Amino acid sequence: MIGSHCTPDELYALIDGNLSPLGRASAAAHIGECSTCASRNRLLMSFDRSVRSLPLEGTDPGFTASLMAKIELTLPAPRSFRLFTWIACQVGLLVTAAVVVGVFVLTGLIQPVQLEAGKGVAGDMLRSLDLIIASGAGLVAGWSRTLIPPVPAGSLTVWSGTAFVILVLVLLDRNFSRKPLHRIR
Amino acid sequence: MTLALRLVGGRSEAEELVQDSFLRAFRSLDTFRGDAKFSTWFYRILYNVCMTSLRRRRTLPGTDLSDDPSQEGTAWADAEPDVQERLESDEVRQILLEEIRRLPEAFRAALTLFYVQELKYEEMTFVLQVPLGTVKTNLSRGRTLLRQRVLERMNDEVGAL
Repeated sequence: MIGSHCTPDELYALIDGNLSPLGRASAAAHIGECSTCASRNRLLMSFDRSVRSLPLEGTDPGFTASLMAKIELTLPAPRSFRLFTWIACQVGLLVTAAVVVGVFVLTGLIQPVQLEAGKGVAGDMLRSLDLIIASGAGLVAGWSRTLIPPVPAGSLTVWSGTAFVILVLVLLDRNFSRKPLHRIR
Repeated sequence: MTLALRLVGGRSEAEELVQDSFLRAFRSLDTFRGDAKFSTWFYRILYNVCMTSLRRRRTLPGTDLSDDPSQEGTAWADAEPDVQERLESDEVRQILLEEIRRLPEAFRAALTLFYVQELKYEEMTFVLQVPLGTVKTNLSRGRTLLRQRVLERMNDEVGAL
């Protein structure tokens, strides 16, 4: 306090609730006894209420639409590296599948003879292989089931290569037929 | 919107700046670390955008921080018992709005963040990027200057009657 009266900052600290319990009690006691400080405190509280009750500003009706249009314009177009990353993942899956099949062939679980899809371990292997390399691409799955040739160990690479080409084509087609990101709401 | 409007003054410019701020926030969303509330983080972006716009303008009303409140004078109006009632009239609210626009921008920002956005001192330091002491000083000086000017105008109007 300056002299015997509260300063504006002290009164505002009281109004804002920024005084310690002891400070609050002391200020309240002083205001109770000092008519000048009581009057000033009421004035500041009135000011505070008036400023708080000032009308808030809203936006014009077209504000949101305009903002959304701006956001849409600034969204990045699909980037090419996403495609390459994605293809790399698919190639990785395919290589993994080829390795798994290779391991089975080398360990004798799949014999290099005519296989009948849908029966026994070899059929299960083929179905798993179908699932891995052609999930979502019924073309490859159907192709492998109906046209599967005898699988001599030496033709595994050719077989996998063919599947890979078809897979890439299918996946490229899926990728480019997808809606661009910046059109998705 | 109120913060932008009180900082820059013009409605169309304020809307433009709010939109720019939304865009910046959208683009920088991955940089939001959660150190502050999202709203506080957004106010900081908005404040920076408004300040950049204000700096581009050279002829600003009320940017002179030497426009300091006097310590005494008409700051209390002890002799006006009806002042407290009049303060809550529509007429005085209009005066308040006008005088807030005339305040230096640092005071205007502090008052708006405190009264409109209802931020705490610590949140205000985050938005305004100044120390706590500066926030308190600007808020206090802003309040005092606003009170002085409003009371002066109220007295002038009473005197003119």
